[in-house]
Amino acid sequence: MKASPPLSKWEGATDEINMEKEKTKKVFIDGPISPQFIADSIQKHSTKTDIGAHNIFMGQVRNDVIDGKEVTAIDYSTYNEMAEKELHKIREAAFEQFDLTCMHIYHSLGIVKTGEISLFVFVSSKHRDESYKASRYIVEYIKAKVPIFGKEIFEDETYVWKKNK
Amino acid sequence: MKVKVLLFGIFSERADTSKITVEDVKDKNELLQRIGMEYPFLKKMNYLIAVNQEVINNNIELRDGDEIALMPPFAGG
Repeated sequence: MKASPPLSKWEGATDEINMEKEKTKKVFIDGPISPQFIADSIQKHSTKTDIGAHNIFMGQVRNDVIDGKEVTAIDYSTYNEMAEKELHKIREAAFEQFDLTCMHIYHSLGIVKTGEISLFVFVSSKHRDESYKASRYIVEYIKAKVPIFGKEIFEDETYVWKKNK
Repeated sequence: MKVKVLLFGIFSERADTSKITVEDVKDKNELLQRIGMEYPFLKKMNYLIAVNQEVINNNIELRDGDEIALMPPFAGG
């Protein structure tokens, strides 16, 4: 199972704003998603003045305790080809069901430590109602349908495989 | 005919490989039977099967070049 190559975070970033519904969008990011990346994403949307609301969801790695051991990181991997297909379906479905201006989904691959961000979902719309609903819809869909796998790593470097509830 | 079977997560770890090639297999059920014999731990685990990147719940015929994936529970988000 090959890891995704590290992505240049700014490659095609301007294009993303202009082409909301392009076929394949970069989703996977090597390592944690930095707060700076999130701030920069927000900044980039300030030129789209038909937007009235953004809704941002961030999934952060939590220090779950399993059998008395505390999680210190998650190591994420994916079935890349299928993940891309599912993410495309999610985008199509969300644009169809909700009146959105923009949507961006980013997920980490590799090691993300507790306290760091592994999922970033950013939706924008003219009015806030759509963005609240779309954000929830997208996050639940990702958790259910996108083939991403995770090892929960403990302080002693042992691990268990994570399962979404 | 032959098909490619990809293993992910804990399956890849337990089988000590992420890819298996299986020849002359008729359908999904037969494939699972054969893989189950080779890797008995699979019989006790929950998994989803995708054929050519689509999750398949029923039995279907397999064709030369199909890509099958055995996936443990997802952990995205």
